[in-house]
This record gives sequence, C-alpha cells and structure tokens, in this order.
Amino acid sequence: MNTSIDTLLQRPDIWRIGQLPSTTRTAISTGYTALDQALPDHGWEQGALTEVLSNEQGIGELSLLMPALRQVSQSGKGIVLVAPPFIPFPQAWAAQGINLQQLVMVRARENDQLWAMEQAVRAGSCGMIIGWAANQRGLGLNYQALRRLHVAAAAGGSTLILYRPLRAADEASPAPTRVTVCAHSGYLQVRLIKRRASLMSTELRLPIYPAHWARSRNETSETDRTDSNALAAHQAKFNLLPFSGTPRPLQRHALRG
Amino acid sequence: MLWIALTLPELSLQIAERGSAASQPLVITSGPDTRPTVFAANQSARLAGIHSGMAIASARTLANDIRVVQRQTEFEHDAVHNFACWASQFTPNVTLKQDEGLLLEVESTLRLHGGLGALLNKLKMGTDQLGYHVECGVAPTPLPAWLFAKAREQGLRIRACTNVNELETRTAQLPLTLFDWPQETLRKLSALGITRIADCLALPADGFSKRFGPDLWLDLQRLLGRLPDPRAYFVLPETYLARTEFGFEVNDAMALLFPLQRLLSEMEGFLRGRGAGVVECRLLLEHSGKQSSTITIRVAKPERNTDRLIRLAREHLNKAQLPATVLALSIQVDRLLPLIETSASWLPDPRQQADSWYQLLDKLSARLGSDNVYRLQAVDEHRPEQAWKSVGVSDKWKTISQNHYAQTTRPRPLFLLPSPRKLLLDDDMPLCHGRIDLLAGPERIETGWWDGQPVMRDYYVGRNPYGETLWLYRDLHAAGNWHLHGYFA
Repeated sequence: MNTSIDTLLQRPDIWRIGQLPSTTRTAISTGYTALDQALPDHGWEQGALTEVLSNEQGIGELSLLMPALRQVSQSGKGIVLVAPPFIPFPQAWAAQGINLQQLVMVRARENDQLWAMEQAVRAGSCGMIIGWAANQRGLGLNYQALRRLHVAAAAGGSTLILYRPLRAADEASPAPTRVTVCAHSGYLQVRLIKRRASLMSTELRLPIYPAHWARSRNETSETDRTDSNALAAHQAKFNLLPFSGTPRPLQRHALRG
Repeated sequence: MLWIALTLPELSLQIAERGSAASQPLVITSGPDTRPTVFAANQSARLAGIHSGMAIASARTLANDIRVVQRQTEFEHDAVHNFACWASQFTPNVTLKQDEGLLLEVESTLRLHGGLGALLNKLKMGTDQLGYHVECGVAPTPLPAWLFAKAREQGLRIRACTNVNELETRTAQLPLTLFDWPQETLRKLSALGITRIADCLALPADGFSKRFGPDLWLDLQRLLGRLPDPRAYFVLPETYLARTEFGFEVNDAMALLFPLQRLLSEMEGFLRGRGAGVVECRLLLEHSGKQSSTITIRVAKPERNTDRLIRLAREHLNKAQLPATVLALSIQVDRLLPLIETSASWLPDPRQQADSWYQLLDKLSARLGSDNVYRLQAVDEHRPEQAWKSVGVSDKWKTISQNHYAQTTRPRPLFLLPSPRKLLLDDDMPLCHGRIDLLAGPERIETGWWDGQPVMRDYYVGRNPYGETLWLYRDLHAAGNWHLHGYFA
C-alpha cells in the first residue's frame, strides 16, 4: 500500500500539503508584498501555469500583473499577449514601464490560441505569456489542454498566466496556482484558491488604483438612489473628483442639470 | 591510460528486478525444464534460505511467494549491449566484456568529467538510475581493473590504483579464481598450494608456461602492464532498441512510467554518446495473449532529455487504453538526428535567447499570418483612437523615450475598446451593469479638425456596481451621449 502512495507522490502534479517549496523553482515577484508572502514561491511561479479567474473586466485584474510585467520587461525579455480581449493601450502600458517593443500581441482563432500559447511558453525566450480564455466558448479549455500548457511551461521555464471565467474554479486544473479576483470597495480582492504547500485558501485585498479612487460610492448611493434627491446628490459629486490628489476647480460643462 | 571496469554481478537477477521498484523474493532458474535449479537468488530469497544450485521445488517449500524467472542469456547479452551504449557518454572507448560488464578507457575524458572521483560518482549515480548495481575497479591497464572489480564483488576492499608501477604489489594478494581461467587449471593450481597471484609470479616463467600453457603466463604479464593488452572498442549502433520484461502483469498504464524512466535514461546516455537526439520514439507494449500495442512519441526538435520525454510519455500513457495487461515494454528508435545541446553554462547566453525569441515570432507569424502577430506603438496624439498604431514584428520600430509616458499624469486605461461603445442612460446618467459612479474627471480631449475627425469629449473614470473601473466620456458634440472607451484592467 505504501509503495503505491510513494509512486503517486513521484508525480510532479501531486504534492503533499505542507511540503516545503522546492528551491529549484523560481518566481517573479508580484510586486505586492502581501501576495508575495502568500504565494509559496514568493511570486508568480516560473515554468508553470497560473490561472487568474474573474468574470469582470477592469477590476484591476491586469494591474495585478503589472509589477511583474515591468520586471520582465526591464530584464529585456519579451511578453506575449495571446488574444487580449481589447486593445492594450500603448500609452498606459508604457507608463507602467513596459517596453512596447518587446510586447507582442497575437490574434488567433480559438484553436490556434492554444497552439500559440504553447509555442510561446515552450520557446522559453518569453518572460511572460498571458492568455485570455474567457472568450473561448466553443473550444472548451479542458484538463488535457491546460495540462499540455502547464507541461510546456515547465519545459520552457516561462510564466504563463491564463485568464479564465470564474466558473472554471469548479473544474479541476493542473495549474499549481489559481487565484480568483473580484472587486471589493475599490480594492482588488485576490483569493488564492489553489497553491502549492497549502490547503487553506487565502484572501487578500490589494490596492490597485490611486487612493482617491478607492472609496466606492456605490454603497452610499444605494440609499441615495431611493431618494428623490439622488440625481442632485450625484451631480454634486462630479466636480469634486480630481485625477491626482489635489482637487480641481469646478467646471461648468461637466453636466447640465 | 586509465581503465574503469564495471561488472554487473548477478546480471540475470538485476535484469529481472529493474522493471519495478518493489522487491520480493526472486529466483532465476536455469538447467533442464524437467528439473530446473536455482541459478541465482536475490537478497530476500537468500534470507529465506534459498541458495543457488537448489532445486526449484525445494526453493518453493522455503518461500511460497517467490517469483521464478527463467534465465535467458540473450537478455543478458542485450542488457550489456545497451549498458555499453549508455556508458558511451563517458568515453568513446568502451570495451564490452561478454555478458559480464564493461571496460572504459577514461584517461582522455577525465578532465571533461572533473577528475576520477567525480567520474566514478557520475557512474554510480547513473547506474543507480538505470536500476543496475555495478562494482568498479580502476587501474592503468584493463585486466587488473577487471580483477579489482571482480574482487570487490566478492567483498574484498580494493582501492583504485593509478600508478602502473604499483600494480605488482597491489595485485599480489588477489586470488587466482578472479581470472577467467579454466576451472581445471585453477583446481590444479590450488592443489599445488598456488592460490594468489604472487604465488604464480614467484614460479619460474618457462616452467609455468610449459605446465599450464603460455596463455596464463601472458595474462600475468598483461596484468602487470609488461605486455600490451589491446582491446577492441565497442561500436555504437545506428538505431536503438531496449526492452524490459516485468515478470508479472501490469494493469495500470501509469505503472509503466517507472521502467520507462529507466529505459529512457539509458537511451539518453546512448544519445549523449552519439551526440544525437530523437524526434520519434516508439513504445512497444507487449500484452498477455501475444497482443501488442504501440505508442509513438513525437517531438518538434531533436530531444534526448529523459525528463522531457517521460513527460510526453506520461501524456500518452494517460489516455492510452490498454487492451490487456502488459508483460514487457520496449522502446525503439530508428532515426537519430544530430543534436547540439545548449551550453549548460551558469550564465544564460543572451544571444541564444534573442535568437529563440525571433524564431518564436517567426513561427507564430508563419502560421497565423504576419498581420496577426503585431506590436503596438504609441503615437504622439491626444485622441485615443489615433494614439496607437499596429506595427508588424519585422517592421521598423521607432523608439519613443519611456520617460515621455511616465510623466503623463492623466489616467489611461490598460485596455482600450476598439471603438467607443454607446452607453444607455438613466436620468442622464450612464449605465453599464448599473449606475456608474464617477471617480475622477473630467479631462477634456478635443479638436481634430485637420483630419476631419474632430472630437470634443469629457473623459471620466467611473466605477459600476460590479466594481469595474471604466474610462468613459461624455460626447459634447452630441450632448448627453455617454460612451465607454476603456477598462482600467
């Protein structure tokens, strides 16, 4: 009986809870201290598939990777985005310290997306590969496909991040690290639903946006909306919203009453 | 010259045992079918009291769960052959000693492997990985190296000898039985009280030759390095075939990985010796009932790394439907391709890395079309739609100073919609999965009369009830129209 358990433990995709992370694995720091501490390798693991699960767009799911992408870019390595759902706005990426020359986008049909991701991770010359599987409806990203990607990542030693819809959390996945992200009063709530060496899932809140964007007005406005003065109250807020810390003067054209 | 002898003691047992990690009492039988006798017994069988020469029937009475395997000398022959293939990674000069072991001439490759100690360590670890147990003997000539290894098999403690002048003293006390001389001669010698090499050497040369034949005397001279002892070197084959028989039935495809790992690492040694890799490797599974099935592993570029091949094999075995239990496994390679391994340098070679980056881009554009693999360049322009352009990977790149963007304090979203999306309104307020709260703004972006696409917009940062942070604008040309233009992803 013991021997069969031992054989099972030989498998690279099975590990014991509490097993110390191997020193041979390397990772790229996420740039968020709390997240680094929660991840067994203190960063996004290299040579592995990592899943980021979310249903929303624009909650900071990409900003989560930005510090790591910046490091990759500054080390002179390339970044490949496979089928990004929108146009990566060059001004914003460059402002984050990403070298646009080394940022390559791949547009592909669904079945070619997997192929492209696999090639990119296998080549080993990319620092990070990000794929969006959220819009893959026809082609199911089944366990085999994910495993293939994970194996390719291990062979190439690149970091592969895959964005998937939240419902994928219920499906088995070979990815050693899986996080779900959602918005929570202006913060990005990151929940580590799977990671090496730990059974417990952990929740973290990361500040993604400037502090003055963080306070969400939705909670307060819930009550306001029932109020007949809601609109007025809402409009009143408009002009008091600065881009950077300092308030800007009122502008007349903001909204006509 | 420096020779390392590798002997495989009780090879027939080792062959039968390397197919699985578990150890159970095992005996190898030989002799006529009517009355087979124990040829060799492993540790746990010996503990039960089984010894060689015993009839198999009496062995069974001592231990009823013993596994009995018929000795097949051709397997031993093949095993030594493949072992020689594996050893060719350490030196091109490998000599095969029929069905018993190998002699490696390592003087010329000693520095490559970091000295004798390091080389012996590598051999030890390598053979462990293959599931073989070997004894080593080291000497400046082949024959004493072999005798040293044989002596170690018998439990004698022998150190490596590297000086040819020490050979005489170092071999003096070795028993003559280590030589593969005829039994008859050995018996005669021992009857005369001559049991050690020193005893022989003390005898007059011509008398010894006359009485026991000149060959024995020549052997003694070769032993001391006084006569040349040329050996024919093993020639590596052009194809590769390795087989392992389990001796029991394997039901689970994943259980094949363990023996496969051993076969593949043996093959890796061979491929290293050949400086080659494989692109296709066939696994032949022999099932009970004389059936067989084949699994073909293909790789894009020549490969020899065991870990990578085993990973592929795992995928194949994972989905394989075994028609019946497996009795034996073999790997077969018909075509070897040259493989230039990347340098195992500690520092990465940046040029190599850059090469593979461009190779990757080439490969992607080749299949997906060059339009579909692109980079985005920022354009000095205030209107978001015109502020970027797509540039092919092989097109010229105009570098804009990175500082140019860092100084921009205006918020720009990481994701821009290909074209602004008109938002529904509720009481003049934009809706996107519910009411949008405006967090920052407005930022006026206007004019563009010079190319006929004028804009006048007030951009805001907003957040909807889902927590999505949006970049949206109010169109001042068509007052009251709100558009979503990007996501602060």
